[in-house]
Amino acid sequence: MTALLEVENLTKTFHVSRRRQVTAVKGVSFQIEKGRTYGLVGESGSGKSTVARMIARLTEPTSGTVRFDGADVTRLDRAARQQYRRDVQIVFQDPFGALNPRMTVADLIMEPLQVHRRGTAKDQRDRARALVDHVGLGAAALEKKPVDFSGGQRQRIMIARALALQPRLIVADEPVSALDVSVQAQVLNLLKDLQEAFGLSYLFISHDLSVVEFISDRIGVMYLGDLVEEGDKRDIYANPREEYTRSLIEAIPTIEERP
Amino acid sequence: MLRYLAQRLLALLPTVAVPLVLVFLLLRLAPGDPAAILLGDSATPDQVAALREQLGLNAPLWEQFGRFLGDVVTLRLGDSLFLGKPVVDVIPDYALVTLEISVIALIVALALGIGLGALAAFRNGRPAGRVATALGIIGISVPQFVVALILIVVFAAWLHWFNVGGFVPMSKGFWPHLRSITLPALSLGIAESAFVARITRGAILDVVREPFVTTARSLGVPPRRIGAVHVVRVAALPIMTVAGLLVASLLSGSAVVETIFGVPGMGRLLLDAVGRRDYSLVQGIVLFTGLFVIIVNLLVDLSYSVVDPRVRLGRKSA
Amino acid sequence: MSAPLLQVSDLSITADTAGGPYDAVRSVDFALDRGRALAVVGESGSGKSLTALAIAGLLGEKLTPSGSVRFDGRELIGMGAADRRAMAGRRIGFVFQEPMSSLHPILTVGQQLEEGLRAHFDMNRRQRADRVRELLDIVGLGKARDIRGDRIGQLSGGMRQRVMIAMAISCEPELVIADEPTTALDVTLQRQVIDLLGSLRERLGVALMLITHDLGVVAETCDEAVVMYGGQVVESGPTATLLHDPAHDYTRALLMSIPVLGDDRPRLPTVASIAPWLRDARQDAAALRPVTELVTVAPGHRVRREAEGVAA
Repeated sequence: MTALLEVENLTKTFHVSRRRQVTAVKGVSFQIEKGRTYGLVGESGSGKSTVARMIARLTEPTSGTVRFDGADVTRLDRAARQQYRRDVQIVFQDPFGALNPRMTVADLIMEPLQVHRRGTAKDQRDRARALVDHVGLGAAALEKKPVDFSGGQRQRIMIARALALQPRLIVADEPVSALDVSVQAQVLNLLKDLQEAFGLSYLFISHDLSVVEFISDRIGVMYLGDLVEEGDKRDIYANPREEYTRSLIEAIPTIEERP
Repeated sequence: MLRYLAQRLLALLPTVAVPLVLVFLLLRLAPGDPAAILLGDSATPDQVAALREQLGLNAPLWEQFGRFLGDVVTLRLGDSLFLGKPVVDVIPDYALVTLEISVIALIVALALGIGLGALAAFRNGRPAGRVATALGIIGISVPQFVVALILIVVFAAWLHWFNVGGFVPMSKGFWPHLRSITLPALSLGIAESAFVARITRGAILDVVREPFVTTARSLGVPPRRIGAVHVVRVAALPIMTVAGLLVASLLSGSAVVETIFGVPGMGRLLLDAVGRRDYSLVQGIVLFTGLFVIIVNLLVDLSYSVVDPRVRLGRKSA
Repeated sequence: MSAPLLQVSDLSITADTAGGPYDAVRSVDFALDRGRALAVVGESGSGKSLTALAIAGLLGEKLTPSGSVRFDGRELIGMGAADRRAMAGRRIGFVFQEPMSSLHPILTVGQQLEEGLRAHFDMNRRQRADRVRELLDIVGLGKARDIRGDRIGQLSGGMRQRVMIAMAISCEPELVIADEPTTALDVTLQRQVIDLLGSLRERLGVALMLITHDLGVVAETCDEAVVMYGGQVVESGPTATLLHDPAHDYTRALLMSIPVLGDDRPRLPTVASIAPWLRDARQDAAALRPVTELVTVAPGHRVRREAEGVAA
C-alpha cells in the first residue's frame, strides 16, 4: 500500500545574511499512511514547523521530494496544484491570531469554499452548518465573531475551516499548545473522532511528547534539523534508542501513579 | 558604529536628490520661457535669446542638470534679481536669525511639550492629568498667529516687557537683540509644544502598560526611577522622531511669526522672493532649507542608535 | 510550631469592569510555611495569577483586594505604598511568565539585575557588580560567556528565564512567587528551571509559591497544592494526596484529562465528561452554585462541598 505522503531527504536552508545560512531541516524522510497520524516531536529550533510548512506548500524546500499519492508535489500542473491545496490543509497554534476578527464564523468556514469555487452559495452555507456540528459547536455559532469564543472553541472553528474542502491530510502545527489542559483533551478527542469519521490522515506537530504519543500512530523525533529517531508510538516510549529521545522522555515532569 | 554611520550616509543620497531635482525643475516647469521670466516683461527677444544661450537653456535637459549640480556644489547660485547681490551672500544673515528663533522655539517646544505630556501621562485620569491633556488639545487647535497675537497683547501691550515687533540686530547689542526675538520664538515654540505633548503622553502611556514595568515594581524600584530610567529609555524614541519632524515644522512656521513681528528671517525672505518672482533667491532658500532638514533628521537617526543600541545592531525592536 | 510565613485568609479580588463589579477571586484561604513549596493550580480564569499578584502587591488599578494576607505577621492588604515597596523584591520576589516582555528591552542584563540592589541596599558599584556576578552563577549563567552587557534580545529563551529568576532572588527574599515559569519553555528547559527552583530552595531556604496548570511540575516541586476553579479554592492539601487520591471532581477531572506517556486510552476524559456541572473554567463561578464551603476531610486536606443544610 503506497503511503499517502512520502517525504524524502527534505532539506531547507535559510540565508540569514550575505554570509550566514541556517539549515533548518537536514535531509528528513518519513511516510504517512492513509488514515493514520504521524507525530513530529521536537523542541524550538528542531525544524519541525519548517517541515510542516514545506508539506503545506507555504515554503519551498531547498531540496528533496514530497510525494502525495505517488505524485511529486513540486512538479504538478496548475490543476493538480489546486487539488493539492484542497487535499492538504493546515491548522495553526494560535487560536487568537489565526482567525480574522472581523469575519463571522460562517464567513471563515465558507472562505476556502469560495476561494476554490466549490458549490453554490447555498451549498456553502449548508456545508458550514454541517461542519460546525461536526466540531461540536452549535449552529448559533455561525453568526458570531471569533471574539465571542474561548481558545478551545476558536481552535474548533479553525478545524471546521480546515475540513471545508474535504482534505485528506491535515497538518496540525502545535494545535493544542496554547490551550488549557481540560480544553486540550476536548480538542484531541475531537481530532481523533474526525479522523475516524472522515478517514483523515494527520501530521501532528508538537513539543509535548505526551500529547504526541496520545494522538499518533508513528512518531518522529527531530533535533536541530535532523530526524534522529522514528518508530511506532509504543516503541519510542518503551525502547528509545537515541540519547536525545531518552533525555526528552526523562525531562517530562511526571506524576508517578494515576487514580 | 562607523558602519552604521556609513550606511545612513549612503541612504542619504536618494533623499538629497529630491530637493535638488525639484529645485532644478522648478524654474523649467513654470509656464513660459525661463529666460523670459528671469528678464521680466520689458526684455527684447534678442535679450531673451542671449540669456538662454548664456544659461545653457538650449542644451539637453540632462546636460543642464549636470551644470546645475556643478553650480550647486560650487555655490554659484546666481544673483538675487531684486536685491542685486549674489544669493549666497544674501541668505546667511537671514538664515542666522531664523536659526536663532528656531533653536529657542525648539527648546521651548520640547521642554514645555515633554513636561506637559509627562504630566498628562503620569497623572492620567486625575485632575492634573486631565488639565494637561486638555491644554494639549487646545494647543494643537490654536494656530501660531493667534498664539503670537495673544503674547503680543499680554507681554508687550499690557506688561510692556517687550516691544511690539521691531527687530534689533546683534550689532546693536546682545540683550536688545535677544529681547527682540523672544516673543517670536515663544510663539513658535508654544504652538508646536502641543503636538510634542500629545506624542509624549501617548508614548509614556504605552510604555507604562508594558510588563517590564511591573517587573520593576516587583523589585521595589521607586516610581521616580521607574519613570526616569525604565520608561524614558523606551518612550524617548517616538519623542525623538517628533523632535526631528519639529525642525522642519519650525522652519516653515517661522515665516508666520517673522511676518507678524517684522523680523528679517528666512521665512519672510522666502515669502517676499516668491511674491517678487525672484527665482534665484527662491531656489537658493529651498535648497538650503531642504538640505538642512535632511541633515537634522540624519542626526536624529544617529542619536536613536545611542538611546537604543538595538537599532545600530540591526535587530528589530521587541 | 511557628506561624506560617504567608497566611492568606478570605482573600477576594473585585474587578471594576464595564459591566459592573465582578468577583474575580472569592474567599481564598491557604498558608505557606517557611522554606516550603506550595502550588496554586488552575486553568485560565481560575484566578490563580490574580491571587499571586495580590500577594505581591502588583494588582492593576481596576482590581481591589479585600480580606487578609499576612506575611511574617504583617498585614499586606491595605498596606501603604511605601511599605509595600520596601517589601517588594526584598522579602517577596516574583518570577513572571514571559521573560521576553517582562524584562526591559533596552537596559542590559547587568543593569537590570542591579535594579533590586539599588532599591534596597546601600552598595557601591563594585559591590553591586560582585553581587550580579554571584547571582548569574547561582542560576547557572556564570560559566558561559559574560552576558552582563547583553540585551535580552541577544539571549535564548532559557537564558532569559534564568535571568528573570536571578532578578527575583537578587535581594534574598524569603518568598519567591513564580507565575507559570515553565509554561513557555521546551521540555528540557522546563526540566532545568524545575531543577533550578529546587536547588534555590535548598541553598537559600526560600519558600516557593508556584502558579501553574501543569500537574507534573507540581508533583515534582511542591509539597502542598491549592486547586482553584472559577475564582475559588476547590481543594487543598498535600500534593501526594491531591494527585493520588483527590476528593474534588475538578481535581480528578484535571488529572484524568492529561495524556501521559505509555497511556493506552483511546480518548481522554474531559472535565465536561467527568463533572458536567463544572463548565469551562472561563465562565462565571455560577457553575459552583449551590452555596458551597470548604470542608476538612483529613488533616491538612480540604475540599469544597455543598454547604450543610442548603437545598440544591
